[in-house]
Amino acid sequence: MLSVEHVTKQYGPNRAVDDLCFSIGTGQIAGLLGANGAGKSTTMNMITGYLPISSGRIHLHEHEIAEHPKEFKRHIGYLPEFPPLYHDMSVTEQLRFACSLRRAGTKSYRDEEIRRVCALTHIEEMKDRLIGHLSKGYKQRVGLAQALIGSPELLILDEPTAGLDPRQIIEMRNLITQLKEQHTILISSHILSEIASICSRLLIIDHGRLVADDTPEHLMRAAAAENLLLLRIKGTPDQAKRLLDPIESITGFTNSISAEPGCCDCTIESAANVDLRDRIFYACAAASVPIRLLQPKNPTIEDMFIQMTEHKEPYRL
Amino acid sequence: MKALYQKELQQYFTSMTGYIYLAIFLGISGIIFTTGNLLSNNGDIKVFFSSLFSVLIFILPILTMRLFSEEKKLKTLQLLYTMPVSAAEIVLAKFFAALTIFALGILVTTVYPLILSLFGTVELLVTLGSYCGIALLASLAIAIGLTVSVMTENQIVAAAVSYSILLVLWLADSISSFLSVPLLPQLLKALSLRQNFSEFTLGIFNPARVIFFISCSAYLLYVSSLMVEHRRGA
Repeated sequence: MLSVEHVTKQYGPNRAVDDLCFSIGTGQIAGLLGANGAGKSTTMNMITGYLPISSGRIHLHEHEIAEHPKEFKRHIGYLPEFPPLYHDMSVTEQLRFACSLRRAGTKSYRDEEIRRVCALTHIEEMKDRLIGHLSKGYKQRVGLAQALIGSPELLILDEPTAGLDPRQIIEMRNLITQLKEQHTILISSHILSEIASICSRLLIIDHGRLVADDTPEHLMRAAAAENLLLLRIKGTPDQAKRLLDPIESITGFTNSISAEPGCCDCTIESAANVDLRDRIFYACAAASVPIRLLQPKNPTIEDMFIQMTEHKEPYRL
Repeated sequence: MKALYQKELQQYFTSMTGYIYLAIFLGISGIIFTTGNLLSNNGDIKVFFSSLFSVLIFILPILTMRLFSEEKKLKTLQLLYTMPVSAAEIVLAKFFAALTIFALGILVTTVYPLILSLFGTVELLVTLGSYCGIALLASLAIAIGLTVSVMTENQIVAAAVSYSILLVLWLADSISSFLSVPLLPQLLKALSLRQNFSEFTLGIFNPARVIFFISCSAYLLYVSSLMVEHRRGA
């Protein structure tokens, strides 16, 4: 189990990561979310030993990173945003080098291990090519194959789909889904829907602090604490305002010209336990304003992310 | 460390640096031997070694300039930092790989004393002492170049700074004669590469000189591994 305890990273007067605490159980797949500069890569770099920690402790089972760095690193496979590959080596040479650095068994075991990771990442046909001649997608796969050498217990993947085309993104996502059977995975990505579809748990970082730590379902439910309704009427925004203003339970609304000619779209906010649909219907009927659309608006993962990173206080620690 | 050493050695030849270094070294040493010994009908091997010393000062930075600078630039140091290897292992692997390429070149020059021995007598102790001195000098020059390489990601800057340091240390005894500040001339003389090397070419195996080269190299390698550890993620 990975355990991050009160970890802080200080760069001069700036605190990139501030008192970060979380743990990931064996077999879990956790997503690390955050805006640019939130501290995701810094956190991952500290967990892998690439960056020294200013204060705090990181454990993987009984191994503490500062006390047993070699033993700790032996159990971690890391794919940074830009895979660290030697462009003048062939794929096989690169993977053999990674095997040797990990001190992964005998020569025959290493050959078998290289075959295994190449098959898993579908790079068998590229084995003898120079890395410098490979496309971005293949380099990413070689980077992942390198991280998988020696079957490390914990896989840390920083933006594994960055710069890939849609087909490659789907392939990479399927591959990661396959990997979660055998590894504990910590993954970061800007593509929130991708993270939500792969991960069983989300960690949201904002300004170096953990602001949310829960399952995607629970976080979405928390984001839906406010009721949102989408209303489309045949009329003008002024008419919509005159209709909605008298309804007391509405906590806020915005309206805009609809894509449908002659119509107006309104997003209506109310408390979570209030259902406004009947009252809106009667108000429109009384004013003889036709309703073209009235439906609850479910928050997307993007809405949830924005809401969480706007919170002043942590959602759950 | 073996894997790192092999990788470094392989990269000298995939990046052409090894070939370029060996071509320049063997070309210049061949010219020195031909003009200084063969064409001059001179059987004294000291002539060859004295000139070889100044050649090495100029060309050893070719071997060391890429050691860390290139890894930093390509961000491949991130791989080494996140693998179960220590900073000392990384530094030593790179040091010994550079030393191996130097040794390959110097090994070829062993035919020169053999050629001279066909025409006369070659002083064995002088020859052995000179090779020993050259090896120690190269170790120090490589350690200096490696330390500079840790500090920059620009290979040209690494080579230029290494060359400048080596030049100052080479000329240190000459510079010291112009200084009137107390202790500084003595210090410069003690650090002078020429001063420390010249006894070897006379066949004198002075332990103080050996300790000077070994301790300075070891100290620089130690400092390099501390810097590598300290500059993690930089």
